Amino acid sequence: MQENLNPTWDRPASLTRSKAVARTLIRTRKGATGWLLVLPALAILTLFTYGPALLVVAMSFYHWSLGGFQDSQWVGALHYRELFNPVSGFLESLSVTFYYVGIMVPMTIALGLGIAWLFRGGAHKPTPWVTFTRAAVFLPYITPAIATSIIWVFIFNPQFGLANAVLRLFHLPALGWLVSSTWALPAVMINNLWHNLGFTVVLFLAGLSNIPGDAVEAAWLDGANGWQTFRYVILPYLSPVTLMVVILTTIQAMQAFGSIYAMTGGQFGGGGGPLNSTTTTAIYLYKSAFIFFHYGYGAAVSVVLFALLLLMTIVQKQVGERYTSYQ
Amino acid sequence: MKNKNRKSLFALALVSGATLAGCGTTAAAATHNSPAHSNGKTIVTFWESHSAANQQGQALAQVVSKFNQSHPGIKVEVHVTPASAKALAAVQAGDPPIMAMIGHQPQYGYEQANALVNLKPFINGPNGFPSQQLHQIWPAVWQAEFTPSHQQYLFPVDIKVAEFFYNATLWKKAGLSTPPTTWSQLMADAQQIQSKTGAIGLGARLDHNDWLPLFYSNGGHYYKPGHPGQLDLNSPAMAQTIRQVTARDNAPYTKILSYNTSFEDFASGKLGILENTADGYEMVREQVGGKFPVGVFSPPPGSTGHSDYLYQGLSFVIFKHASTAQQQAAWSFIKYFDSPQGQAIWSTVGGEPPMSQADVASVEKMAGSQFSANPGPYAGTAVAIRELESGHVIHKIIGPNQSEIDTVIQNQIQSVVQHKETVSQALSNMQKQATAYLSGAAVQ
Amino acid sequence: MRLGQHQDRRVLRTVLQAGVALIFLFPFYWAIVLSVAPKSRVFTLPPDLVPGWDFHPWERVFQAAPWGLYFLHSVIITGSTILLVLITGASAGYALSLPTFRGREIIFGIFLAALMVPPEAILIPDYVVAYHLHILNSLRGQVLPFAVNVFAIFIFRQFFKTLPKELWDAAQLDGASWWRYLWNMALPLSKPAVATVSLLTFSSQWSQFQWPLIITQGQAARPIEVALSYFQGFDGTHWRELAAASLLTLTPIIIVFLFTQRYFVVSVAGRVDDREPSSPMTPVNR
Repeated sequence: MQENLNPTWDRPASLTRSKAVARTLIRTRKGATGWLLVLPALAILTLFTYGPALLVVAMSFYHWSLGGFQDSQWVGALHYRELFNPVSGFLESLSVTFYYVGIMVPMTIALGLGIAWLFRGGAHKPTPWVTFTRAAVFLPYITPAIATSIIWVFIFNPQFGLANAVLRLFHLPALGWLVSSTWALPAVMINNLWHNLGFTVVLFLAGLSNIPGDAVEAAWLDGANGWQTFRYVILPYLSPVTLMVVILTTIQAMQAFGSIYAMTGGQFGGGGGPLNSTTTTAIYLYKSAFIFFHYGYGAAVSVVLFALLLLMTIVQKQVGERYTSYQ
Repeated sequence: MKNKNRKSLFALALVSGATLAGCGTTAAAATHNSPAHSNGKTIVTFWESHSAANQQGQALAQVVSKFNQSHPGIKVEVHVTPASAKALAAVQAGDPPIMAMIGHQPQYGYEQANALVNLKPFINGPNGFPSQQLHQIWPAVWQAEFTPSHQQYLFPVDIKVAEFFYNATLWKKAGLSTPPTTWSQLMADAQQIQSKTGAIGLGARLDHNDWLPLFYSNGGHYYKPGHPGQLDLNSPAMAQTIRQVTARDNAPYTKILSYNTSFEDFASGKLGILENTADGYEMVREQVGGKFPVGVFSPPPGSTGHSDYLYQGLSFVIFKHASTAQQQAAWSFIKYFDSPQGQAIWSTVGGEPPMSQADVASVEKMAGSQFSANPGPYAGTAVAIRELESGHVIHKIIGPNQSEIDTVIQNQIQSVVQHKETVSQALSNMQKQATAYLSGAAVQ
Repeated sequence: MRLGQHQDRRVLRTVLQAGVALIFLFPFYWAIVLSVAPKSRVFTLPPDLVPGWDFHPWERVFQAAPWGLYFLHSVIITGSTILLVLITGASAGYALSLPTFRGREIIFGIFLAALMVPPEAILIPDYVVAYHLHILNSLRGQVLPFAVNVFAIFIFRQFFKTLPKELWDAAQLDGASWWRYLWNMALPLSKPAVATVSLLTFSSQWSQFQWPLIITQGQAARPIEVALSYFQGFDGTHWRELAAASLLTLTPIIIVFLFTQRYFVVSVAGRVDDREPSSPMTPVNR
């Protein structure tokens, strides 16, 4: 009776048995299929995410050897005490990280919103010009940071680089950039802003396109000026996107690695120079574990990084939600 | 019903498995960093870190191809890899190459992992080096190949000693004729180049090495003489070193350069003197491309009345996990490389000094009449040989905490350069912090 | 007069847009110029911005390293990851969209939790896991940890939920198994989801750097990004060759982007509407 309802499902007789099988399956299924289907994903996540998230905490209490627990030596809270010993350099790496994040987040929002504002509208019937310019802004975001950072190393060459050529054009003093412990981190920031802004711009563009035209029009009719419209109509609409950008940029900035590695000579001892001025916690973590092979100590760094990221996300969400309105 | 579920699971597993196998086939064949045989030849995978595109890489490739031709049973395969760090990770993963070129400092990690072949039986064995040949290896270079407990895992290859390069055209324009013989003269010359030609006088490097020869030539030591394990950084020699470095770095005619960009800066013709090492001479000349002659001189003497030349570089190691045949094949390559024939290629093509006094003659012969011309194509090698012959060569092996202690010293010196600390603050801080590392109070 | 002002504004805006686009494209352009610059024109002040079409640097790059091999590794890694992410994503996403699946709330929560774990924080234990699975220094080791993407699961779940219920009823009436429903009906209707997941996985996997840097040692499984980084380290003094090598790495992703850029942008923007908690997986380039 049910056969041949759908002609494309008409299969040779050899398949009849499996159809019968399938029918039984459907009748008797009590969620078993569901479990079966999520199993591959769960297995891999257990192996590479959930398991390691627990393991990293355990590892941090050991002088860890790759052989496993039986080869490792329990050291208690030793690694955590070392973290807060100023000589270890961990606190210094935290302050570099906060400096980096503290500049990157507001810059990303200001520039991202500014560029999105410049490119707003036209999303429904994109002209080739709109498509081209938006693609140009977005392009760096999808390229490997390691490859584009090499180009930025040329740009920041003190002698022949473009950065100093621009400074000279405005009669400003040329800078040492990557060889200067003051300017190396700003150089990394400029590279990463260029690289990641496209993502933020896309988010803000989507946010802008969600603002109903009549809301803005109503504000104009009420006699609001440009700033008032922006402040009291547009910004509230953008607050959910902005909160998202804050959280994502923070997470992104706290974990930046490839660009710093490529720009500060990571191939020679892990990067982070000159004089630790670009040693963020991510670089510090990498060097602890994979240059000096202190896996247990590196695990302790990871746990603190983990906790910090979690804490910052929660605080940002809590504080952010207060100022966020979902229309 | 259970059976059916298993079937579906099986189907899923099959698909995932097939995908993995797809990438697995290449991986499985390639996972081993050290395949044993190919066409009946013993394969020696050799990790080293000179780019195939630069002079040392090309010199090495020449020696390897000559070796492979003259040894039909062996095939040395060069893989360009940052071996010092990566080979240790490979050891931990149970998959190291057969041999590698690593730095002196990293050997402690390998020693701890029990990964390296003790080379003494090879050196003293029938296919080894007679003792009169060993005596001709530069003493400081030879001493550096031993651990503090007199184990020998390293055999010398890549010898870097400090040198200064100068742009001979700018030099002449500034009215200079002979290379400086004191530090104050070097500074005065740099100043004169800057004021007469408008070019930057001196390009100094920002790394761990430039203060150390100064420190030694001022009579300094890491440890109190007679008290091994007791650091002696808070000393008049270090105070003088800090003052010299500070004066140099803060002089208006000095520019601090990163290693990689310093070559381009010099090649641009806008830099008078460049602080570098012997192996950089060929690279600098290549970058300059004949636009002006490049001269070489040695670092001037310190308050002890002589210069100290820092030896750094890479050495050959063989990994324990290799089979006996592979170890022997690797050793024959080392022996070939360090023969006068191999060293002649390494020095003339690669621009590095040979490892032994005994090889100098064959290097000179291959280089020909231009060997001692300065500026000239082999000036970097010739000056390096003279430095090595002087006997005042130091190596920086003091033990496993070297790089941490050097970082402390470097950071303290820089604090003075940047006017964040006084000299005496820096001296007491570096002594305190470095002692903390030594006692194991800090891991890193 | 008002109209004139309006016109002026439009021109100004177009000029500004062009300026911004130029800034973002410039580094790529400069890399091209450098990679084909005659030697004498690399070190000039102000920098020379016109290509000289000297291809010697490219020749030297190809002599310096087995790029073909590294390229192949990257293609295999990226290709198999996309396939696996699609398989795991579609099947788990399908399960989560099933009304009859009792555990789906719990499972959904478990998947959500994975998004809370920053990849950087589990780098070291992941290395330990890879060591014990014997997948260090292999292509598999660069695929397996990325074979599941929670975002892909959510995207598929959203999509399958939008499929008309009648389709599922018809399939049941016909006696089709869940597997055939998924494979023959649901998936073909979900091409946008498949495209989105493929593109996002492609761009994140092609840009992968830190993990391959850590787990590969020799050249046996070395992907092109790591090879490029080593080339930079050992040959950092040769600008023209370095520019050529970095273009070698950039070209495939730029080509894919040129043909798919609209989907790319939509894929990224689509996340705003999800209102799912933000993901640490989102930053593609670490």
